[in-house]
Amino acid sequence: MTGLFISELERTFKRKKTAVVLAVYAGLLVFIWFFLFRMGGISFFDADHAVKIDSLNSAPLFLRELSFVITFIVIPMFTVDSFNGEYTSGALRMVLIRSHHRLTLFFVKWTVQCLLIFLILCITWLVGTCLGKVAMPHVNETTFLGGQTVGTVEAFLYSLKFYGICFCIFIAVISIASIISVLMPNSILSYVATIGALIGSVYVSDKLSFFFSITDSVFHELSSSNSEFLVNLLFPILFISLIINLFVWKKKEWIG
Amino acid sequence: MKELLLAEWERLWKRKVTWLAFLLVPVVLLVASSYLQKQNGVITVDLPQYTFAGNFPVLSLAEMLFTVFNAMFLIFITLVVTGEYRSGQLRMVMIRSYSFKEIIIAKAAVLLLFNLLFFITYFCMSYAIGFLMFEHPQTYSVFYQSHAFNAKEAFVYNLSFYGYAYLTTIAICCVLFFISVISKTTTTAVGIGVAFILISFSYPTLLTGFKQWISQELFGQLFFTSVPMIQWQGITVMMAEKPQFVGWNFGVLGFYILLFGSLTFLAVRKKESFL
Repeated sequence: MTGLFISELERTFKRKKTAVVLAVYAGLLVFIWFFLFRMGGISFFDADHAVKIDSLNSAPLFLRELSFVITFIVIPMFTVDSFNGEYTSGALRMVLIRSHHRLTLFFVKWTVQCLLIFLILCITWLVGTCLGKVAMPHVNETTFLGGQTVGTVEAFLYSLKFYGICFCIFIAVISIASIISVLMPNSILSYVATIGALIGSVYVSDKLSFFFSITDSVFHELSSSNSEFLVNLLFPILFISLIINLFVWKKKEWIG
Repeated sequence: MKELLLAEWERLWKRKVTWLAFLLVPVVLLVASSYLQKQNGVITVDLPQYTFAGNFPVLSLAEMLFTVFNAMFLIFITLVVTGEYRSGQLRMVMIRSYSFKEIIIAKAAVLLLFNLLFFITYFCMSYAIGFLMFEHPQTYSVFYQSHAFNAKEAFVYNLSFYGYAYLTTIAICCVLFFISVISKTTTTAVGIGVAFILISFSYPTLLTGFKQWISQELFGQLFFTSVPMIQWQGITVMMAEKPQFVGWNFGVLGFYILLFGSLTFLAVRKKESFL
């Protein structure tokens, strides 16, 4: 299992794309910081609520500008490459001829994808928090959407909770992208179908719009005390998509 | 050259995706019509947004041009250019005595033809579905026009709207074509393509934040430097009773086509095509 995990990581980082995407993401972090600074430190919770960035609320607002890049470019690219590209190009043959259980292989791939996103989120959180402390006006308490005023510790917890929920949504996106990647015949179709599924979910139901406008709906979720979209919607979606994944992965005829 | 075009055309229609794309046209139109019918419930009849059979072709195209059309061209350009080249499918063509430039020109011609065919299909189907799903009065109002349109005028209006829309997709296709030629893998090509569309959608939106500091004229010009924005609002503005930004928009489209066309040409000339 450990060997398989290391080999998956090695294959992921052997693609130049992984390094380039991470580098571009780092460049974007700098750009967004510059951009927010130029805008006079104004950002938005959603389309109607503007907010002044200060040292305590900078981390969630930082992710807001970048969540589009993560869901529409980073996650589909990595997941499609790992689940579809490797198989269709034949790079996975050497792994498939070993006597590993198929499901172990799936879990290793899935874990590596989640790890990459976790890494990206950690960097974003760190940069967001540090820049907030250094560059934005220092305050002792701040207000989030919904009007509750919070102190330093609570704001810290709020941003952690915010990133945690975003991470759960990103995991759900990874799981959906992996189902599509296994089912589709080539990487182009799986990439576009993933994006189509994310955008199409808005047409299906308004409640599913959190796949499209992630941070806005997380702000709304955290602002109202009784909405429970996480328990009622996100976790079932995550759970069901994992089960479908396992099923599809096990039933697929591997003739690479 | 004629055989090359024919071979390219045949290889395009051999794909299941191509047939699927055409079969999806009625589905897309039905989705658009159900959405527009929902919209009809909240607005009044005299507004130009109110959908009738006569303006359904335009409104459904405006709804889908940015998402479905661009996504489809992204798929096909990447499949036909990067996909065929990187998977080695193109070897059989390249061992013939055609230059790489000729192959690329043939591909571009076939894709533009396919694009045109798709537009024609969409236009005819949208008229059919429009008459099935919506009421058709004698006259109705159109964006930025003072007098109401009858069916014949509306047909001419719709046709020229589709003409402009086709022009904008040529500009988009030029950019995507260049991206596909220079990308090493298909996922990179799609990734950069999506990034291009997202960026050209987001920077005009960000620009609205600076609206109070710049003049109306300059704002419009900067806004319409992005092709998706021309698709979204520019075409209606250009076809208004007092047309605005016509020269500017054509300039932007021409700039995209020329710049990315010549960049593709340069990239192809420099490329060492050993597979």
